[in-house]
Amino acid sequence: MQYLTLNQLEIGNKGNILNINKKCNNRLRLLDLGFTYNTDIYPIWNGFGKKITAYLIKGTLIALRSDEAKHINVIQK
Amino acid sequence: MLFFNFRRSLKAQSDYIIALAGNPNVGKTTLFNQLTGMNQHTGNWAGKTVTLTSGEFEFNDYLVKVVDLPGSYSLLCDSPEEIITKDYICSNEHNCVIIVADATALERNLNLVLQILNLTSKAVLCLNFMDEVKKKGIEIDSAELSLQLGIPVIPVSASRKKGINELIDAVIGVSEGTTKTYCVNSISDIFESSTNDSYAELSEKVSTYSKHIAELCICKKGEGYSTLHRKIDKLLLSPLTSVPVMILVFAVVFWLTAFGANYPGQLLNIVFDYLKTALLNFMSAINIPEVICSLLIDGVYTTVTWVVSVMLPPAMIFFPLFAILEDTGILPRFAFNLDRIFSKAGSNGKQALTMLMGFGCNACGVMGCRIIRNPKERLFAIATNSFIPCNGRLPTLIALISVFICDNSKGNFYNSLVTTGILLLILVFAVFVTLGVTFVMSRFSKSENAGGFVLELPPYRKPQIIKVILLSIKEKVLYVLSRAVIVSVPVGAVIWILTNVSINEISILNYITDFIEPFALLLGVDGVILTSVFLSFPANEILIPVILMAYNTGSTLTDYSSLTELGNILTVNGWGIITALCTIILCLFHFPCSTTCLSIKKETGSNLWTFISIITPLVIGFTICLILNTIYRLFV
Repeated sequence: MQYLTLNQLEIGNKGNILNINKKCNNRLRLLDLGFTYNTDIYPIWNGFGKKITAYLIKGTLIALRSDEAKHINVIQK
Repeated sequence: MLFFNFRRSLKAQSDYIIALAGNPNVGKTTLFNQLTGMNQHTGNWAGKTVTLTSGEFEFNDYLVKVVDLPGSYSLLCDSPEEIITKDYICSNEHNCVIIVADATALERNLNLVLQILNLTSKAVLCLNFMDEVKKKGIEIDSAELSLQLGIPVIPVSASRKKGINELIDAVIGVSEGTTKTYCVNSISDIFESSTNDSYAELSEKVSTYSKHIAELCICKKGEGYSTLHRKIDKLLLSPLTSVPVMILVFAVVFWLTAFGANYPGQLLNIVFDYLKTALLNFMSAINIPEVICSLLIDGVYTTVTWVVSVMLPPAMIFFPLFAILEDTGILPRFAFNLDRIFSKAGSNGKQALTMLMGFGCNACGVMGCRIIRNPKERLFAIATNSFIPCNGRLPTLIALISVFICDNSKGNFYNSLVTTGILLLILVFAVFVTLGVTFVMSRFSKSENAGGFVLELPPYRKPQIIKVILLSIKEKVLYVLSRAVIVSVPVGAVIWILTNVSINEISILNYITDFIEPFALLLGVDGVILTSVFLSFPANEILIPVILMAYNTGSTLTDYSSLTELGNILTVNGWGIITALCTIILCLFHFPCSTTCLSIKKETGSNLWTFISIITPLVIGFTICLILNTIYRLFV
């Protein structure tokens, strides 16, 4: 079990969300989108330079920049 | 008795009022269209409906009014869409809420469902995209879900018109009171016990409960992300293939828009010429004075028909193409790919899409900037949208490229490819300038990065091609056509006056062109060209015709029957390669057309930003021309 930030989670691995750091500007919106505690999340596609990644969460693909993803704490199983 | 009748007649306006709520991109507006037969625009993107639209339908003698609420992910947030939705649901105006949910992503959608059920239990859950649910191998127990939520649950496939009748039945039942709904205690408990909770804690509780219900009611999970979609995404998103695929799609769209418009354009010209002779004959038959006749036909009619024959054919190709791309879900993938470049410029990937919309019509592009959440980034996108040449400017660019850069001895098809290639280069240049200006703007405006960038990549959906084409024609094409006509009428009159009213044997137009000639020469053009650029403020399409008319010292907008003829007229009037180049630059960067300026004022609500949007391209255009011309004069 590893504690990571979402941007550190590699493609093909499964993560489980712990919380979102209060520094994140988009925190409320991300919570609304389903980035809540104990939600599974899978990084699927990396954009250029790995600055943006598409994640599969609750059956939907949502893309986040690594600047945002670094505020989300996950557990890698 | 009287009072009862009066109330009844008020209500006779509509028997029931129902609201449509749900996450963005769940097919609410498609359902709305199916119910009301009205055609509101949908696109496969989160966040398109930003105003409340309403319509009506009749069912078994009931008149039902439907209100389409903006899509929201939750009601806890304070964004405008969510406030509108929450206020409306809390109001007593409606009899029932249809909560539309994407059945393929039920757990996420339950978040909003639970929040709405906390406010009202007069609701029906509409599970949309049931056709996709079947394909993905997902099974949902609607009966159990209904039990858990306390409201009827109706599986529907809005695009295939399946389940709509059952849905309306359930809605009428709930509105009448014949179908009982009940408030589930465990749901209201979540919200009652959370009065002191933070947003995160409340969100979490709702999320956990959604998960719990989902686990009870979803029997088979199926593939979350199908292999086919994965394969398509691999093509569109992986670093190796994404850029070539994007360029290919853009190139095909541009080529079709630029050259597919040729034959319809020629056809329109023939029709308009025929009408012109008929009108002239009619007017002389009823003895209208020649001056008025000339003003109306040579001035107004010629201008209007020119503008229409230039902008209509490309618009009829581009807007449906764009709508189809939008409907399939491909466009957010482009935004994903381009986000890197745009974030370096201080904006985000969605700006690329507003620029693509701007290629069709800058006014539409400006309105399309609503998809950008961050207010500052939205302003930058609005202000720079006119750097991208719209359909109206395309024929001007193509004509100038064909005459001065192409080798016309080679075949037509070859030329069209070369011209598209050069056009693409020009567009890439315009994109770079846009990025540069956005970068500068973002440096100068100190804003904290509020809003951020979250992009939903919706599943690929097969577009209903005929429906999409018809809708886009009705919505976009008619809009740009009507603005073209409305604007061209006064412009035609003004141009006629400028060329036909003379003081001391010199027309007013000539006074103007002579006056600004010295300044124009600095820019590598001449007085006529510069005046025409300014005169094209109402409608960009008239640039070349006004130039030709001024050169010919004619009294009417002059058409050219072939590119060779155009080339001859221009060369005779002193045009060289540098003139053509500077004219192309000025065509790209002058100021937004009148309709776009109006849109900018409306969307930004700010006089300052409208001013910035007008001045910035003008200054840039003049500067580039100055530099190019100086270099040319010095070294060539």
